[in-house]
Amino acid sequence: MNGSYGPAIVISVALHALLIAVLTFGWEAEHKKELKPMPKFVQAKLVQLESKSTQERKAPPKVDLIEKQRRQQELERQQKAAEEKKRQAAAERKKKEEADKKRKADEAARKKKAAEEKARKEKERKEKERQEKLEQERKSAFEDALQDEEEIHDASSDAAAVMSVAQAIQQRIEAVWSRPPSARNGMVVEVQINFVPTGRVVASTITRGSGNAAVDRSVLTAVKKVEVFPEVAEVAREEPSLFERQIRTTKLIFRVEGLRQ
Amino acid sequence: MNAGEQLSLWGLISSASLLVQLVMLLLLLASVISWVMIIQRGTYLSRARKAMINFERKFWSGSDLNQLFRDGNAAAERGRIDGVESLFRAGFTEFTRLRQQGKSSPAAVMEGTERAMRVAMSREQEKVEMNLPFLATVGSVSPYIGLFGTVWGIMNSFRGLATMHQATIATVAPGISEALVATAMGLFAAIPAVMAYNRYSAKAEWLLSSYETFAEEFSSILHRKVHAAS
Repeated sequence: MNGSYGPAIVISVALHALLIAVLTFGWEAEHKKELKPMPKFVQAKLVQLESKSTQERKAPPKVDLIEKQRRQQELERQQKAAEEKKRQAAAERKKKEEADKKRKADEAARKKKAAEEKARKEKERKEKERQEKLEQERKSAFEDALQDEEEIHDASSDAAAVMSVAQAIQQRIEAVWSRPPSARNGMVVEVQINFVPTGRVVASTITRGSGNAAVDRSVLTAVKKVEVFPEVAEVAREEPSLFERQIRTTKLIFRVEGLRQ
Repeated sequence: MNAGEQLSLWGLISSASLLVQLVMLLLLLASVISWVMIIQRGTYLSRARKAMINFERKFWSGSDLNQLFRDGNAAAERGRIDGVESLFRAGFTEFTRLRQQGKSSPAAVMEGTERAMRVAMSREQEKVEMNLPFLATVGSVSPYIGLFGTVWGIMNSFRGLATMHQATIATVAPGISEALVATAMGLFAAIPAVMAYNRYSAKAEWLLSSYETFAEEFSSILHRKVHAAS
């Protein structure tokens, strides 16, 4: 008489099954919450697209009922009109055939007069066309000038944005740059950095070296150390086209200055 | 991304290597069995304690020993005698048999009775302490088994990392996470087993010592009886 095993086994197995069920469902629920914030950048774009499409979609249904009635009425009208047109067309053909016969007789006489008139008209038209072309040229020149001005304006604001971003990048790199002992004042390193829209550096190369391999390497390691530039990510989020044009591949110039020697 | 699917509990377990899966299965079995033991031991020990308290109350209420013996006859025939009562019955049976022979001296009667009670006592001890070693084993070994599974899993995930060109935390993280499930399961099996083992071994010790006390008290009563008769 050792206490029965049956109920103990049942209870134990039931407990474990319950625990496993709770774990699986609990785990899944937690995980979905975790996944949400991951694709931030992509989500922002999607939201913009959706808002446009929803606006477009939402507009029509309100007028739908009225429009349907209108369409039906229009269809009926069109059918009636088509029938009337057919009748008119048949009548017109008969008239035209009769008229053509008369015209052919008259045309021989008219052609002579018409030829003279055409010559005059053509001269007049050519003169008018010349004047119109001149006017159009003036207008287009004005418009071009306007566009140019706008472009210059945009370019200057873009250039300012690019400059500020470039400065921010440069500051970040300089903050982590460790000066090799062989660095001398006046050394210039030109680096080309490739960014992705998250602000992460995917590649960095020296386009014009300083002549000192240690300095070149130190700049590259500084770029790698920063790795992610939040300013670049911000620009890519707010002005994707500017990012694509100007910042995706950025050239930076580093000048070694202010060293005690 | 299919990372979400892979990171669910089942995904982690199913993507683990065979050895780690075996370890997990072993630990789950250990946990189930140890819980069976925990529940079974718990009910048995609490029942034994209650039975002892009841019997001692009856015993010390001053009723006749013969009457007490006859009360338990029905249960004894069905083999449902447990704990102190079996001690009492073994001792009393031996005592009455030796007394009925009439030839043995009081010392020999007492010796035989005590021996019979000692045998019954060791049987009770077996019953009370049954399965406790298993709980102790699960409690002490299953963390090590879990740790073994984890170490093996992490070893594999790092070996996979060595062949990667771009090593990121994302390439090792699932492997480590899946390996850590084994340790979690080991601890899950071990903690209740250790707690139950400590609690039940204390209970069993208390029960056995009170059985011993009862045996002593009973033999002193029988001693008095022998010497009063002779």
